[in-house]
Amino acid sequence: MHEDISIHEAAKYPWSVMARSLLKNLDVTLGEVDNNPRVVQRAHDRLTQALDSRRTQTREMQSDDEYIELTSFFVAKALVDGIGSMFLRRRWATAEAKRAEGFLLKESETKLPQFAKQEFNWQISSAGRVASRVFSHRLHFSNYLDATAGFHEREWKLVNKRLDKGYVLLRKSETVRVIRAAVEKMLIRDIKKVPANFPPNIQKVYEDIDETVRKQTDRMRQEIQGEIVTEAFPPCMQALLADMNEGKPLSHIARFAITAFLLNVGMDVDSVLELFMRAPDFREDLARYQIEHIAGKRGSTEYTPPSCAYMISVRLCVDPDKAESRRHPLAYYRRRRKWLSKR
Amino acid sequence: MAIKTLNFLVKQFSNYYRDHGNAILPPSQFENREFAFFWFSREGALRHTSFANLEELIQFMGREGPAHTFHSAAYYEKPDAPQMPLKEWRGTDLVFDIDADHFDLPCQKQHDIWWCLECGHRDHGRRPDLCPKCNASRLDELKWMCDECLAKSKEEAIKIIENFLVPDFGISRSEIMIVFSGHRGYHVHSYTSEILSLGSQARREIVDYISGTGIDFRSHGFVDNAYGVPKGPDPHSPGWERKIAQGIRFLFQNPSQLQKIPGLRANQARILQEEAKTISEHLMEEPTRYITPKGVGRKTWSTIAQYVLESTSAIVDEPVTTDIHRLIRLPGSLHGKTGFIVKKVELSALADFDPFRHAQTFQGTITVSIKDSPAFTLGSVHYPPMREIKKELPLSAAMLLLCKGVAEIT
Repeated sequence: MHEDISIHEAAKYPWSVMARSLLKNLDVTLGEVDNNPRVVQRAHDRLTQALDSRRTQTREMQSDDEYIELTSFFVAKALVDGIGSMFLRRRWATAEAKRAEGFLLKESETKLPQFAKQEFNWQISSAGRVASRVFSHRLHFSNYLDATAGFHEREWKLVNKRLDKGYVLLRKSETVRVIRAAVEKMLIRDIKKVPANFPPNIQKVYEDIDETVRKQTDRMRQEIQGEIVTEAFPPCMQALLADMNEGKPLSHIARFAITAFLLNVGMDVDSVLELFMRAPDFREDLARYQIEHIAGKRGSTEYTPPSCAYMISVRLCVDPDKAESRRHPLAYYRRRRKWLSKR
Repeated sequence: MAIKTLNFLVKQFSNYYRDHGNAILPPSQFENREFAFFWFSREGALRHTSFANLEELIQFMGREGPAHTFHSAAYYEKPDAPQMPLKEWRGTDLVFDIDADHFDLPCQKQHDIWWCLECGHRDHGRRPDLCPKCNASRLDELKWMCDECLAKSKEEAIKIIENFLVPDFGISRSEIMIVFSGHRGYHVHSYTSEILSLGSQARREIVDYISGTGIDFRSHGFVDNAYGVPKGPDPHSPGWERKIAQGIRFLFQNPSQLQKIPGLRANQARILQEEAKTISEHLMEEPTRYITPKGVGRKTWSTIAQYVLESTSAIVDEPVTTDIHRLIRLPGSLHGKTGFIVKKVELSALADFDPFRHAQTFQGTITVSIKDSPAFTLGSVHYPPMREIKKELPLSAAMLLLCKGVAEIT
């Protein structure tokens, strides 16, 4: 009976501490599940759905589904680790975290803190009525910030939350959303080494997903690169570009943002350098060094421009109210360019 | 600066560290901190150093007489590794830098000067990016400090602690240290264990919280209910909502303050002043019901809330808090631009702390040749502006002028 309850829980939250120990106890190996077509099929679905829609189905599970849900997660994770694409990893983590959110929303208010303590070691407890409002939970701001770093909507900014003696007051749906973010982060970070060869059926899934990922990332790259469409630049980059053209000196972070942006949309180092020549404090050797550094020619990191959230925070965003619905200057550019080309 | 002057400064600083080594306040987990030094008579800095214990550090400082001494706000497994990724980061204290540089104060227009290195043009106030006369970017400046800018810095430091760190972030006063920077501001350090592992983005959220950046008043109680009666922030609610509610109450209990609100039209301010008593009484009775006289709508409430926000929030230097590898001045060391002590101040003593008295160490007198110095007060002595003059001064005043580069050893 105890095992029944735990496999039910483990199937809902296959990445949880409890699910992992259950898997260990069941001694599941890839070779063994390779012979179970339902497991292999479900692992394939988990990944294709994630790639298509950043989601994977959530539905009430029948008892025989539970084993499949649990083990197919394990297979899909091995594939994500094996394929090694960050794009796939993000999509998959988002999909799995959203799937978990569906189950978490159905959990009781008292269960959520227990769960979050167990999984993430959070300082979290039940809240209740605070002044004229009712809240479900109190979560320590450090845990809250760790999980929500990267949220771009204004309502999630700490400044728009009620913060009381170290704790952020949350409604139930908000707590679940924060847990979802923590799950997503955990899945992105947790990269394991996998064997070079998968058993035959899983290997087929590997090849299929690998191919799909390659096609998708190629297409996205083409959408950004190619002919540079200045009209599709987000307002922040347009403003920085205008400042550069007028020969105004830019702050360090502004220089970084515009340089990384221009390089990412496909401008070469020399053309970026040319733009900087108008700056009053221009020094070619320094500027070239910095641009090449950002382009990844001097080190291993190739930088991307800062996110909208960061641009707002450093006051380089020219329209913070509208930027709320945006995530990233490059995403803006990609969408806007597509839209302009359609016209 | 003449060699003679530089040597004199090194000697004075060395002596201080030899005689007052016990004033140095070692940061916690001492052996996991990176130390960095800047010099009087050498270019560049010594970075990526660490010391096994405090005695070693003090001996080093006594020997070398560094102009500026910093330690990392971070803890590293290998603090002396030459590059960040090799240091193996373990955590960073939460630090805030409050510096008069970030305020626009009237006093700065009097005591700060800048000059163009190309055309020689000079003016008072904040240094522009470009010389307005010849468009050159090579500009130099002399920043000074006075009671006014130091009081403003102190006020901001108190705001950070009393309005935010203690009530909202729940950080205990015993885990907060406040340090006079040795120049124009204060540093606030906090060591609460939960915050040590926070990344840059999380720290930026803390800065945004304290500065009120990105606030949405609708998240803090401002909504129109079904009957068109605007609801407002609840003073019993925690965090920013309480601060805004209390600020608004204060304004209506002291209606003359309403005139100060920028963005409020004269007739609006007049209506609000006339109705202040009624509004205030309503708020006492029903704390979230913000009645609005004719001509005063939600936009006006937003303007008022914005004013409260600006007077309640604190101005901090963002990169200092968000950069987890930042260096911060070592408490007990001397500031090479003033000769003042970078001094820890007990919270209870902060109100009475006067850097011009309590951060001084040098005794005796010396004759220096003064090029051009603004008026200043040190201890209980007021010094008028001085120009092209040789003068015997108390050593602390002479050190200030020498460190600032406006006087030389004769």
